[in-house]
Amino acid sequence: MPGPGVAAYLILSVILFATGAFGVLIRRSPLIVLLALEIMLNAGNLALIAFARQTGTGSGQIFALTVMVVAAAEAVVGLGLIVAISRRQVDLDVDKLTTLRG
Amino acid sequence: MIAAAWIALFAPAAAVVLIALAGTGISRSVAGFVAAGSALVSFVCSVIVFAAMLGESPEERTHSSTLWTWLSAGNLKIGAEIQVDPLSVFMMLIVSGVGFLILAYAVGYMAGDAEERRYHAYKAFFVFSMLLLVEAGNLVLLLAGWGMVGLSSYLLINFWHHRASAVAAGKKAFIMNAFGDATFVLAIFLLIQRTGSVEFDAVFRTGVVEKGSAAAVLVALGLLGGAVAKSAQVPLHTWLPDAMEGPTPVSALIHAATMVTAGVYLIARTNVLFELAPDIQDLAGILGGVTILLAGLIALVQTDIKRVIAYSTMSQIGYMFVAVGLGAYGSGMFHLMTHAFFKALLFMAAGIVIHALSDEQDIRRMGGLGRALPLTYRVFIIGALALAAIPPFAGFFSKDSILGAAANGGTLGWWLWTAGAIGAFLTALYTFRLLFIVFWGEMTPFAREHLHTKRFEGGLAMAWPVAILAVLSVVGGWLQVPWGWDLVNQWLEPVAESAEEATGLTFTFSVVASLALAVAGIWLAWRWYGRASDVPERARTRWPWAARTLEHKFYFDEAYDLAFSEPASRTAVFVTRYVEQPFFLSSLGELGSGARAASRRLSSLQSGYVREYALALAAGLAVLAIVFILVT
Amino acid sequence: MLTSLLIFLPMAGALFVWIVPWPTARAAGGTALLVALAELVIWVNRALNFDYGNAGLQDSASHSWFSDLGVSYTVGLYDFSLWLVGLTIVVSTAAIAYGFWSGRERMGVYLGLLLFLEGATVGVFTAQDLLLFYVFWEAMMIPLYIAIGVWGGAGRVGATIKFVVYTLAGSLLMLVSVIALGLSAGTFDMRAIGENGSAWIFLGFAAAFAVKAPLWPFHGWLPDAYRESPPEVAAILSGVISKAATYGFLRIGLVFFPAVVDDWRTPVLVLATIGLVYGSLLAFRAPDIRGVVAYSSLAQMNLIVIGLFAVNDSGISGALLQMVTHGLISAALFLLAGAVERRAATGNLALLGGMARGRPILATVLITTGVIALAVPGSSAFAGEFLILNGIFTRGWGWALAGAVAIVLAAMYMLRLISAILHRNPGPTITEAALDLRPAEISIIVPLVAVLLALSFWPAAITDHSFGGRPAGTVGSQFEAAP
Repeated sequence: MPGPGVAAYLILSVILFATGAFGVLIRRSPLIVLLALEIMLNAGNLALIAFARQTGTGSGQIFALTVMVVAAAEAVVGLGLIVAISRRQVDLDVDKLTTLRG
Repeated sequence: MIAAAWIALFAPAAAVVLIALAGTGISRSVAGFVAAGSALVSFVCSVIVFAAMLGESPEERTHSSTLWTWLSAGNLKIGAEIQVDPLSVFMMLIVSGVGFLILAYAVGYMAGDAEERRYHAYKAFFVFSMLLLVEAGNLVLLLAGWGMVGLSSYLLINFWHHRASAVAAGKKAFIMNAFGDATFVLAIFLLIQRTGSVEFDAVFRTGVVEKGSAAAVLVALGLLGGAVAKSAQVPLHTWLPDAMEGPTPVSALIHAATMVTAGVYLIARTNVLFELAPDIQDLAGILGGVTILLAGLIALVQTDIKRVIAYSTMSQIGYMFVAVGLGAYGSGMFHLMTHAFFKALLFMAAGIVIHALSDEQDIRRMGGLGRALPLTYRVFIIGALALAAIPPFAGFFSKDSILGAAANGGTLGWWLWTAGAIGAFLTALYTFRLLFIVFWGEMTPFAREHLHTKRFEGGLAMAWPVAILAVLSVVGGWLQVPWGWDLVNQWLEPVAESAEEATGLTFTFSVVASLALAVAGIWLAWRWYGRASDVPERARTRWPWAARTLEHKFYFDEAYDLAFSEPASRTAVFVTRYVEQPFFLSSLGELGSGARAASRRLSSLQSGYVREYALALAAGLAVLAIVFILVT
Repeated sequence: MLTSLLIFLPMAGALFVWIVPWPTARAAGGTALLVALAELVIWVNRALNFDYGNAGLQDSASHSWFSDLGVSYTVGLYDFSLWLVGLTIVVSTAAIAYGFWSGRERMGVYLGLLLFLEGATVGVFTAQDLLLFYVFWEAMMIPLYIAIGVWGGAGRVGATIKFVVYTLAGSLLMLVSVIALGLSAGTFDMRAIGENGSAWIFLGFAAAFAVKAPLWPFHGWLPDAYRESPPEVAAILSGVISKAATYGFLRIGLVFFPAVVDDWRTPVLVLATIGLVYGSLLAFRAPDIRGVVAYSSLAQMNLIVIGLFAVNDSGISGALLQMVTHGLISAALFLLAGAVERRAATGNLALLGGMARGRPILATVLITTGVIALAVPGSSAFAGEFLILNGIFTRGWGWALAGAVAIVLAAMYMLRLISAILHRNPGPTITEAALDLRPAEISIIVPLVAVLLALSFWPAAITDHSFGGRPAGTVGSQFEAAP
């Protein structure tokens, strides 16, 4: 099958994942953190589909679909939380959300 | 006939249930009548059984009946089983007969007590337990009755439970008896191991336990431990005098007439097992002999009217132990019967005296009561003469039957005979000391102030049972007359064959010598206490150590405190303080607070910054990845 | 089917009581009590119709749970577990009634917890699948943690943490053993698991049982837990929950590991004998009512373990009888302790006394329970101890001798307890206002004592109707073939 091999996809997936992870770690706005999380999930999806294409079976694609559903659900819950937080607290800053400190 | 035996057993139990459930629904005296009535039913049933048995040939007089399986485990089946044979019917008659009289007396004696119903219920429970003991058809049921008489004894000793001394006495009695129960139960375990059964027939079958073997010795020793504790023989005797804290009818029934003689019954019942271990049987006799002397000596200096009689009870049971220890079961049981009559009589007469003096028991505050209480005085004399074994009163025949058997018992027999003869002297001395101090002489100011009497001195309710017992204390001994007949021995022969008594000259000597000693005792009592005399005082100042030893009852209580109570208590305190506290409560108790402190420290890791958590996750993942790469 | 009903009726009742918004606390509590009574009626009806000649499993139900591991939901009643289920139900009903009567806070939640506990405990006694057994075992612990931690006395938090740490440590070891035994046997069906020779697996189970019983020296949680719980929880804890442990020794230890039990008999007996004497000694010096009952319970549980490890007819039958008897005794004693503490506001024996005067019912009930507890010959506790000691006598007379010493000690501490509460002059905390037992208390405690008296009259009701009438010493054989 023509086109780049699985390695190229994986490299892209790793770059995406690292970008996402980096975003989660350094950004303070919960909206951006959520965005970065989505990038990480999609990095995973990319890898799954790449493998699916390589092995020629459907399971990877099915997995990717499941991840998408979960990602959507997660986005809904996450955004809902962010809205709720912003109603109570003006600053949208994850470092100020430390109510659970032990 | 066997149905009558069951009814005899359960009638008092029914009375207990009735009194307990009726509560305040019935009056106090009705509760008493219910209890006494149930004992009367038992007595009538016992007579029916006895009469039926008379019509049978001696070999066929053993009957048993099982109503249900009481307890089982694998092949071991223990039935709710009674066995009536000459021995048990003999005991049934005494227990229910004397029991009935004392329960009837108690209706008058306890009248007006705040918790009279409870008293009558306990008393009926005792009669039930005692009948269970004597009717039981196997060893475990016998032990059940054995334990339950101990329980009712405990309940009745501390009947007046606001008195600290009564509570302590009750506990002491129960715990010493629990010790006896424990040795008894160990003996049963050994028998089960050897014979696989607890049935009398199976256990007594010859050849199952070898004569003189270790098993035979241990079984007999265990049974003897139980008997000694229950019958207050040396060295497990110290609870009986304290048990006098209970109401007087209790002392009469439980601590004189019936329960304390259960040890004698047990040895007679299991005589087959004792014959297999002659050394232990001798030991029973020796303990009896020692008790005769010890108790007789202590009784000489006691100042509490009931305690004097209590020591005399111990000493008389000593005679019974001597008898069964020598294999003279008939004589032992005979003395058990006559003793039940005259000792119950003495206690009940003492009870009338105590009542008349507003519950005073100290004989130093009595005196001259013979004129104030002439009827009581007369029955007390009958009881005292029977106790001192003066013919033709009951005690003479039974005691001389025992001494006659001792005279025929070889070297050990002669030693025991000597103890018994000295005991006869002591018995007469302390009995008549009591009689003279209480009834003769001048009335003390205390007595004059507190004396109050009713018609017949204790009231009719208390008088007639005393009168019947007085008659029995005279004629009761005529069942077995030297050179005449021996009905008791013959009756018991199918169950326990008695050893031969001495005959001819030896026997004559035995009778004459013991009688002479008894008369000497009475004479001495008269010299010292019947008229003004300073001999006892002089003796006391001359040999203060002797007086002290007697007043401290040979220091048994002190020794037991030192040897058992104190160490047990100290061990418990030690274990609590130095094992439980530091190892289980504190150091392991730190587990809780330690866990909390650790979690407090750990919880500082929980900073609340989401990004730190994410970083930790990422770092962890990275470490795992590196490890994974390095390993593969 | 009926077994499942016995398990899930109280659990469903608990959910119902929790979820429905009751108008008053008493309505919630009353509902819980009704559920408990219904459960009792079902059990009595079943016990009357049970086929005691049949040693096999009755009323069984089985559904596959995760089939690839051979785990299933399998429950059923053996005749001997029927008695333990009955004990659970009787004691739980009494406890729920007592909690209802004494008006605890947040009654619906509280009594719901007790109902849930009842169902889970019945589950432990009837589960025939190892994993299910473990699930019920843990389900049984959770309501206890909450009930002690929330409704307990002043030191409840410390007591609960200790209890949790101890029991969890034991339970986790048991979980490892459950998995190991199930995997090595290829099934978790307790009827199909044959004998196993692994000492390690046995010890894992033994750890959980030894903590729960408790076997000496794993009893560190016991004094605090028994002192700080509400009386009715203490009644369940010492009356029923501890029996789950001895049941475990019987159903799992003796059946699956006969050879290991044989090897480990002496160490276990040594510990149990120490525990028996140790508990009795501490009970003799304990300063308060609960302390006496708690340590006497420790002694009794060790005695039951002694009976089980005799592994013969007499020992096992006696242990079973003693489990039921002691369960009833300690439940009655803890409820009585609660009654006394309610009146005197203390359980300190030095401050009590003289309660017999003018309080005949309290005195009668307490004395009756006390003398049965000290195993006066003729009582059901005596019957149990007799069989246990007779069983162990054949293994060595020394064990029985130690047991006999403990009998004397039992008399000492029980009489001390009775006298300290009832006798002598009234203590400083006993006023005229301290009433005799109220009708409600009578109707809760007296039935327990009545059952004890009935068992004293006929202890063979249990010993003759367990193990299918077969010798208990061969207890293992009857489980092997699945019906």
